[in-house]
Amino acid sequence: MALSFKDLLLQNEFWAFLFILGWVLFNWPMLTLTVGYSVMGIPAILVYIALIWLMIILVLYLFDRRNSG
Amino acid sequence: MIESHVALIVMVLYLLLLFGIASYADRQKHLGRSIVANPYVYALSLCVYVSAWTFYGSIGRAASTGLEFLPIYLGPTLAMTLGWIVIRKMIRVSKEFRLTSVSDFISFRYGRSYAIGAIVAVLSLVMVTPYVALQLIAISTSLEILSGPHLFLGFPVESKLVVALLLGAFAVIFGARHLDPMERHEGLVAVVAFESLVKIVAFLAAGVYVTYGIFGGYGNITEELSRLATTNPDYAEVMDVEYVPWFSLTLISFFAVLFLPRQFHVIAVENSEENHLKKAMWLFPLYLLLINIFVPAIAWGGLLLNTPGLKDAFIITIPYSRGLDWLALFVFIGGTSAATAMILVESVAVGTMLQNDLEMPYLLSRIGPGRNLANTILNMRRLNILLVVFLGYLYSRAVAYQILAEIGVVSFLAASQLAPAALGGLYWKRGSRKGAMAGLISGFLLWTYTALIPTVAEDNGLLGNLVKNGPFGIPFLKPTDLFGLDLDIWTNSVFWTLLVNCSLYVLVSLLSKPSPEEEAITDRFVDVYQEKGEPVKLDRGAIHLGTVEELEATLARYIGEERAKQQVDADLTRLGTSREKIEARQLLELWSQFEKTLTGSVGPSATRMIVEDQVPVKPVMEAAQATLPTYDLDMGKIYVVPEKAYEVFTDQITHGIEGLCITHFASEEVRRRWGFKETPIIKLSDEKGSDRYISPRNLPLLFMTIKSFVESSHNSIVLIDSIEQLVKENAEVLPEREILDFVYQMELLGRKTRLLLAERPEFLQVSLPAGINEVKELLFTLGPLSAYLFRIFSEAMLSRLSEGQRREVVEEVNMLIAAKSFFEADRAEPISDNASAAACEPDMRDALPKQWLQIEPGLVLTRRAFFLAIRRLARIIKKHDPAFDFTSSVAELMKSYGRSPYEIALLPGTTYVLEEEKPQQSLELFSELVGHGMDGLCISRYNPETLNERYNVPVKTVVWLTQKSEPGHRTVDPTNFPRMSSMISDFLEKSNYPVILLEGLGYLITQSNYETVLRFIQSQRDEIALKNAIMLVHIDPLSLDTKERHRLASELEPLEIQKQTF
Repeated sequence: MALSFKDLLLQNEFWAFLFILGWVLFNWPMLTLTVGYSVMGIPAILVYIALIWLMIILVLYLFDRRNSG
Repeated sequence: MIESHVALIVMVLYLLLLFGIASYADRQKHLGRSIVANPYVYALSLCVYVSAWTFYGSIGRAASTGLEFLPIYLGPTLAMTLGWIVIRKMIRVSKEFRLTSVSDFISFRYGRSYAIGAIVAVLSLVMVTPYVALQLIAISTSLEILSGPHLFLGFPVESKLVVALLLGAFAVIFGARHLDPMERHEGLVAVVAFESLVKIVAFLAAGVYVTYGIFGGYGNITEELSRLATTNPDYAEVMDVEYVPWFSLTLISFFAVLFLPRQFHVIAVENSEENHLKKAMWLFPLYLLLINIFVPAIAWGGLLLNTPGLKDAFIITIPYSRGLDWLALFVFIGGTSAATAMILVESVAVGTMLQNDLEMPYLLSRIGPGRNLANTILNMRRLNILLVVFLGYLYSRAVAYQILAEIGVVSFLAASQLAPAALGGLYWKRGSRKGAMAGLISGFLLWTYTALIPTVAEDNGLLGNLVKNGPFGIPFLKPTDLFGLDLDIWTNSVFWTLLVNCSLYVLVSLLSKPSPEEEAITDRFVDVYQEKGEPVKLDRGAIHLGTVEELEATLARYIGEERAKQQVDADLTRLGTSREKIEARQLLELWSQFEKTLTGSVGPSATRMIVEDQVPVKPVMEAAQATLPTYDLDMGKIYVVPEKAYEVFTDQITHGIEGLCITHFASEEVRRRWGFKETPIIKLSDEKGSDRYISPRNLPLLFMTIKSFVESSHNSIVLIDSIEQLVKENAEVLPEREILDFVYQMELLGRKTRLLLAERPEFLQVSLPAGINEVKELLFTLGPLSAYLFRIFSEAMLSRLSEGQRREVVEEVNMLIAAKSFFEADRAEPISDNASAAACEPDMRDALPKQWLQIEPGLVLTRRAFFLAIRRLARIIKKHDPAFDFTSSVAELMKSYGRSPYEIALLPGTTYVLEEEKPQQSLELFSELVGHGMDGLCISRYNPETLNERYNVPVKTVVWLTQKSEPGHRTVDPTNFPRMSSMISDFLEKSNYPVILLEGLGYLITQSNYETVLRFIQSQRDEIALKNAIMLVHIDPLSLDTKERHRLASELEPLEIQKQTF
């Protein structure tokens, strides 16, 4: 049976998955993908890290929003 | 230029503003209008993580070692993804047990260990001292950049000293104003939250100015730097990433955000509501992202501009050197905010630790109980706070700033050493005190060797030589390159400290056995989310005082009279009672709160000592005989011994078992007759003047005395002579529920000792074939207790009806009772006394005959008869009130007396079918029923060990369907149906209240054929009906065709599990 997004956010396994995914995305070898590139003059590694950071914040925000009140 | 003293004056004015904010927050709290209890303030308070090390140090690191500063913020961001799993549990545990520091948290988990608490407290002091020094230096350095060295009355005034004095005073005033059992400081939190706002606004202002005011944006800065890097390779490095230290720093910052003393304090102790965490989980990472977004721009901008002075200070020196004094001053205030918030919270957190885990246990062991310590405790806490700030100040004078810049990482590494014991303790029940000690000590020592010494060692000193050449010139023992792994200094330390720490924690835990107290705490700690099944949840240790006033007086010695009174009044209100009306049950709850309040005020180790001091009976050993014991009694079992209970008891205690004798006889007489000397004897008597008497009416006290004894001993036996007499003596005095509670709690306690009951055979509802008889289910075994239980359940059900409905139901039931057709006649002859009849307010019943069930005196019910009766009553009630909800009406009682919620749904004599693809629910249901006292037999295709591991199904209940014979397990060939039948028959013959699960039908059919299996189930179904047992048959709907399913289902009752109704 399909789960709603809210149900997904309520499962411990999802958070464990996000934690591991975050570790992987924030570390080697993913960071090497950005070496030598830039986005509008800014080193790509900074843009990449900021995007992953924002993605995590977004998921955490959605968890708060869908479960508050 | 900024005039001399202006920066100092602005700082003092700013501190005064903070003072005003803190006072306002405290005042609002007293008026019941907290400005702190909201998720945004909570999220901002977590940002105390951003200290001067971030404010200045990140820029310095970005200008020197590139992006290496970033992992320090990625770790906490990742930690927030586990916020709802890990941090919420930390908060719940801290609140449940009133733990007020990370050392309390860890020491409480490991049996309130003084040693562990002391180790963590010392480690914390060592780790924060240089960190506090760093903050003081950061403030004073920035102060001197802006306005030069200060003079006061012609003497040079050290700005660090001024700052230390100001912050020390501030922390004392708002961190130790009074003794608060919850250790929450609203003023402090308000200040920290405000400072978090100031520091981020200041940082962003400076970042925007450098990025867009001086340069043409982020891209412009990085392009300029890249151009510079082509001529000077040093600049190329500042955009590089070293992946190994990157990983290590992410890891330790992940641990640090949870276990740095100040972080634990704001996360768990200052949290006013668990739900606030949800907002903090995204606001905190967002804050970290924002405060870091301009770090590279400022750092690289500073390099491009050739800004003079420390790289760390670029954020001030860039605007200052360009004449933007106001921005420089604002940034200085931002940096001051970062540093002061850290010092304030850290000094309060570590001050609390030092007191709770080092000083209080020592103090109590020296001065003994009874002294009024409230003022001493408060003053001690103030001194501790000052001590933390003062040590930081001394350290700041001794060490250069450049060395301190690395100190942040060293502190993070130290905090990481707490992670195995803390996180392991939170989830792993096998984690033991000895394991935690081994892990912590080894981690602490290795941290000192691999991180602290290399950081503080001077080049040419003794330590410098050690770092350069290794001890005794052995290179592979060099602290920074242990065993020649060629790692960077931080990864080397992270790797070795955590490897050894975790390994020893796990291995020693697996090899050691925890004490009973530790086990009890572990269960409650790890399973903190589980609902409390038992009505009374008490901590270890007994309180031999019996009144609210005595409780309050004990508490007042540690938190002051006024606070003790407020606390007791608040607890009484929460329990819905008052000093005059308090019942025994509520008094027990109050005592459990007493321990929690004390834990919050003086820490778990000291609480343990205070409570232990009040344990009336301590386990002692009799002189052991050289012979073997005559009787072999198992731990965790209850025995009824009608004739020779004292003989069996004496045999056990003279063979190395610690005993407690509860008797109605005089202790001298018992000692003289049975010859034991040391074993404590408590006489059930109204006599006064000694701990050796307990009134038979004071069942809570009696229970707690026995409980404290059992939990103080590894190997104990308790003799009670006798429950029959207790029931008789209390029949007209105490509510029936209190007697039931006592017996049920004793039954639970019986799992941790050998409980010996000296009862007459006539008092038991089961036959006693031997001299020593193991019994279970005391509520259905002893005297009139089953009738008491029925009355309580029926009253709970009837209380849901209107007066008219109740009258109609009672009349109908009374008619059935009179016609002897309501209760199942399990036992014809009534018990010999009339205690049960007398115990139920007879006067009231006579006055209102139509409102009460006329339960005949001497009624006794088996477990089966009991559930049949309440189901019958429910059906009658339902006739009169169709909206009646049977399950919810008895849910609380079912929990209170350890009944499985399924028991009222399952009818004895019935075979149920559960249709599900995998037998998960079937096995869980079986496990739950067996866990609640039913006798179980599980015929399964699964390996018994697997069932035990996955579903907690006891191995001894499982018969494994396999063609192989497996030693140590009961097995049966899947084609051998006669053997299966005989196993079931034998089991039904021996069992009192049986449940059978048949699982693996598909396998049985594969091994023989459908018709044979169907015939087998049909025959078993009849057997089940005849023996009034319950059988559960699992079928996988996909393994049978429609016709086969239909034929099978027509033989059996469908069962749908609806646990959520409870």
